[in-house]
Amino acid sequence: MGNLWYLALAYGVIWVVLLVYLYSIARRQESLRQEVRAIEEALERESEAEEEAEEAGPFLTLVQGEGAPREGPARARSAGEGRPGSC
Amino acid sequence: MRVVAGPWNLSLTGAGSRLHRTLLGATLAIGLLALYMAFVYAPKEATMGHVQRIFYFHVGAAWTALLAFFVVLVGGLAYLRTRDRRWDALALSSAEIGVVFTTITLATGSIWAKPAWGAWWTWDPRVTTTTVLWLIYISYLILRSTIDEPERRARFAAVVGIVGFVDVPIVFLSIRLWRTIHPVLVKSEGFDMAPEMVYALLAALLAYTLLYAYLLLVRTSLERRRLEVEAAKRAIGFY
Repeated sequence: MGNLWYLALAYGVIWVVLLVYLYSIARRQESLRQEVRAIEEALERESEAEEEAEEAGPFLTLVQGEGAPREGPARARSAGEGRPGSC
Repeated sequence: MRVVAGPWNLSLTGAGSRLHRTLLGATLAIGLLALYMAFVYAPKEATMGHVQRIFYFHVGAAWTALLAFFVVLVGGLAYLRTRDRRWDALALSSAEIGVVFTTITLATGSIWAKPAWGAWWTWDPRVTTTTVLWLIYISYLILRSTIDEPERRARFAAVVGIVGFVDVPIVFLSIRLWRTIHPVLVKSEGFDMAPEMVYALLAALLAYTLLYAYLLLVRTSLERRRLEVEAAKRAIGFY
């Protein structure tokens, strides 16, 4: 009977080690999946912001008047950022 | 940006692929067969009794660990030759699995040693060289985690993986080179056990080899996807 205890312990250890390793792979897989999701969301947000800026372009021209220099979305954004040291 | 955003619908480990499913099915089927053969088919050993049945999966784990470290050697050599990081991913995955199987080997060996030798641990040449092997590849994994620059990390790891393999033949030959109390199973006249035990051992070896192949496939796929994500993040400046 004592021998059977050692046998059960050995097979238990094998299963535990393998399951812990599989769990660690699953966790890393999930973490990578979340990373991919974060990148996708960031790219989507950036893409939406660009589209909005493009849509707002003609409206900005209207508000600023016909005589005002026409600013594309990129120029409008960079002008808004206000680089330090520039006047 | 849309061009980059498009291909992100990844199946991260390719776990649904036909090869994955086939390998998993074969591993489970042969694994169950090996368990049946180890516990039911193989006769009870006359001297040690049921505890001898640990041996089937202890030897299987040891064999798989040595195979895994051989793949680390191949991956390291191929990386140094080609500088293709997919080889490095293969070596890393195999080293990790090799450490897992060496852990199983040492743990089951220690559990078997208690009733067989009367002690959980002895500094027997086979046990000592296997412990050194385990420590070498744990160092390999630790080394990787301490180097940030990917190319440098892969190069250093390849060298450690290649040099570390020197211990593998020493582990194998230790019971022939030095005086040992570790059992010698394969002699010049063949296996030193009943034929049923040999078949049970072969089934366990096959089951472990399939399990290794499956784990390697899953782990390498994950590592390659991680490399792709890293590369994409660099390309779009996502840091």
